[in-house]
Amino acid sequence: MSAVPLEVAAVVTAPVSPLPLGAAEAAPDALRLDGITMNISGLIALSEVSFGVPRGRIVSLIGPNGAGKTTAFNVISGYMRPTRGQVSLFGEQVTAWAPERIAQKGLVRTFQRTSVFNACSVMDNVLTALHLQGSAGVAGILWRSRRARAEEEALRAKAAGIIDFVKLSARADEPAVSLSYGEQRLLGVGIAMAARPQLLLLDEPAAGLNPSESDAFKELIRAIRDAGTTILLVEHDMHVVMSISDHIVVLNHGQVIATGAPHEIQHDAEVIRAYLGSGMKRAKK
Amino acid sequence: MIKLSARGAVFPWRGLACALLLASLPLWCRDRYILSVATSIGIFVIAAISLNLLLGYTGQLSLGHAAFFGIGAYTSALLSLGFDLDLKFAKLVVAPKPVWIAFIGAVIVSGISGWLIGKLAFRVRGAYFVVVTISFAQVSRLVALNWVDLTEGPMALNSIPPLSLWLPGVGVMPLVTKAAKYWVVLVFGIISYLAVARLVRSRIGRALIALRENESLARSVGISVTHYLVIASIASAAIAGTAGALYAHNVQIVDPDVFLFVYTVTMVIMVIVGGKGTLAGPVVGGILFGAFPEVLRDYARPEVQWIIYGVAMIVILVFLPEGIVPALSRLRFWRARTAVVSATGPTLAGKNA
Amino acid sequence: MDQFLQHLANAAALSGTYALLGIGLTLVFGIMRVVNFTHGEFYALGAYSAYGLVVLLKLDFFTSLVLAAIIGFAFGSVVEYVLLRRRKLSDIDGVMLIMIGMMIVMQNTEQLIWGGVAKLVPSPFSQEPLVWGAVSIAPIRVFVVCAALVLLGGFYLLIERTRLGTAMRATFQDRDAAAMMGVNVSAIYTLTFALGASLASVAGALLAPIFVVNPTMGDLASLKAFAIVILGGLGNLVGAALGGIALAIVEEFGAGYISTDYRDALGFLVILLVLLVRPQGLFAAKERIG
Repeated sequence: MSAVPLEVAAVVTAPVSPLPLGAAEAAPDALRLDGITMNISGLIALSEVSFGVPRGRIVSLIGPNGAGKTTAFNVISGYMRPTRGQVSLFGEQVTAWAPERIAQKGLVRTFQRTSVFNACSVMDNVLTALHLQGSAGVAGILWRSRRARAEEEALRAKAAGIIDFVKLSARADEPAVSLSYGEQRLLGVGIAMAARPQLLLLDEPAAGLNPSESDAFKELIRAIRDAGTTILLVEHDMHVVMSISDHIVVLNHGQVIATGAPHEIQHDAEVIRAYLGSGMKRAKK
Repeated sequence: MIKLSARGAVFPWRGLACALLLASLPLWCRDRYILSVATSIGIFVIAAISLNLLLGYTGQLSLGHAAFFGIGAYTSALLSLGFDLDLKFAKLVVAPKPVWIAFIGAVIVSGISGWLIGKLAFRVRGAYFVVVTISFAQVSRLVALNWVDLTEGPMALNSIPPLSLWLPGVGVMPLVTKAAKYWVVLVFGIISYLAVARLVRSRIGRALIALRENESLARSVGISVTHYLVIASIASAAIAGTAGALYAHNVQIVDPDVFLFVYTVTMVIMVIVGGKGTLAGPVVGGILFGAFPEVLRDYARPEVQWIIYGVAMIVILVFLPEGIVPALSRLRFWRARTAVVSATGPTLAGKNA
Repeated sequence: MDQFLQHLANAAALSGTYALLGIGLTLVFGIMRVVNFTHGEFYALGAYSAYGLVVLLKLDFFTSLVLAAIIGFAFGSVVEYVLLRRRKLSDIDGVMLIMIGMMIVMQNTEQLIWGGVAKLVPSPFSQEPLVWGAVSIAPIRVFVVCAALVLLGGFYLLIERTRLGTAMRATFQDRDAAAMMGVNVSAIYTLTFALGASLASVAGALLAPIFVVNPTMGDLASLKAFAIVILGGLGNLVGAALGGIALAIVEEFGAGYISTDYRDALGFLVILLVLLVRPQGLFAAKERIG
């Protein structure tokens, strides 16, 4: 599966169409962090973190456990307010906006744990995520106006398309809580895509997946990027990171210690030291 | 498990059959006492349906619901009786309004109080929210009790006019027979049920359920928390207010006791035991706990009845936390499922790669 | 001015009683995060125990205080063991509703046993008020303030200075970490709840000679206790005491200068205002809400 079906692309692509080659460098970054510092009860989780995510690219945010990656995600997506610094989305300041407002602007994130609506069926999960693409009001719903019914049908069709795209059609009517772990992950991505992100934040999407599931996920992520969505992901699986990222940002102890293309990062001494700690020295002995 | 997927427009045969059966009650049961019990059960069911919207579907433990019921009752009563208020700087005189105007006024005022509480109470969450809602009901009760000028306090508002119906050829007919009152309540019961059913199966309903299931995830797809909590609060309050207005015109007396915590608890028990988050739950719970006092009347004193209800609630919460209706539907679903599996053999789970 | 002083004196006396109500609930609501609707019922239990012990069994008041505390403790342990152990305390709603169910059972049992007529417990002190210039206070109220101070002090020491108190605080900050350190978490939970219940029970017994004893006294007591705990900030013993004083002042002066009818409503209005303006309570340090 390498191409995104047309009808799905229509659903998930943001109104901004993919930029022609060369134009990406001139346009503002999809996401820009400037001097983000996050002080949580005395602990400095992030310190002067600055980086950009160019449009239409896949950028990975990596670092050892506790480096501050999820905190960065929380700040970007509005679940935490940074102590200092600014976040801008396509050139617009979104620092300290409420999460739902940021989502309405085109930034959608996934979650590591509890990534689905447990009691709802797969279909209802995706339908819920299509919230912003509907507009039926209370009156229309109560009177079952033609417009409301038509909108509901259209949303169902879109949801079916997305469920197909993430290969969960066989499970469409099952409650999300009964899905396997890998299936819930796929549903989580489906939910995120339904919200029509221009910028998609994926929080450890490949965690706990076996190699063939990871490969499928890589294809999925590439397909999403090809449809025009910018992607920022946090990931531990280095194979996944190195193979799909256009660009990598490395965090350690709340600070950016390196940025660059995958092959640069692989040989960066700072990065190696951060991951291996003093183990490197001991290993050499 | 809550199955929400409604595939297209399937004609609700079972619903229609139930409605017709209920409507036929006064035709084969002439006992006025039973009809009047059925009418109050109906009013309680409507109140339970409204609480279920807020408690079951949106997941907000609002324990002040009697406030909306009472506000609806008092508003309808006051508007249909007319009142005059001696404020320090002016005298406010309101003439008695036609009973249906008063009724609509009650629904509107309850809805507004739902908006007010929604806006204010949802700024705090969890246990604090519960305390705010309880306090609101208590304050309402104390106001009703002490603002004697307006509400007659403990002396109650009485001689409230009954609802009336305009029929061509007959003119305006006051609905005073037990059967007529029962039918009015039944009609509103069906309307409330359908309104809530349509709401929860729609985009708005999905947003409410999403907030209950996983608020962070809901926000991440653009669902605004306060906006939808307030919508739920307004709808829930308006329906409860409808029940209150029906109560006022049914028993034709309203006193501050409508605000008592015990009535809120009654509604909560109905919703919890019946099955929160299901459409049939509050109906089942309402019928059960509306009927119990009558059934047990000759066998047990009120205190003993309440002890039984309290124990029943605890037992359900510990052993059957989802309530009766989901437990029953799981039983059927499980039976249907095992039947399918044995008929067609085990199915292969599709590979997702 | 005289009136002001009298109101102040009344508020002082009332604040002792309210502080007592508050600390018991703080233990359970504040530390265990259990919305304990039965708190008022343990208060009523204490009051009825006092009535039974003093009037029916002819024991003296001070013995009945001690016995009321023990009864509250025992009953509280049973309630916690039977009802709360099974539930994960993270399911706040379920726990709340179970507590409501228990409240209904307790209240109606009391009504069944004792009937709805209010009961009176005679005061062990003389009825002569102590007079001090323009201010007069009944001796029993002075005793209540002293008893409240003693109990407050005792519990402060228990929580802050003993190993048991440290174990309790540790358990509620991080249950798993405490368990790993060898704390018997289940026992701590039971103990905390029982202590809270016992405090409420003593408060009820202490206040029985001042207010009448009836089966619904628990409702108002519960709600005022919640008001006090919220005013003072969650999990904060000192805050509960200060909250009790604050509520007493608001009620006393409000009733005196605004209207006596709405006396009880004032407490609730205060809750509403505080929660909307400063949800973490007037005296708490930074605290996450909800």
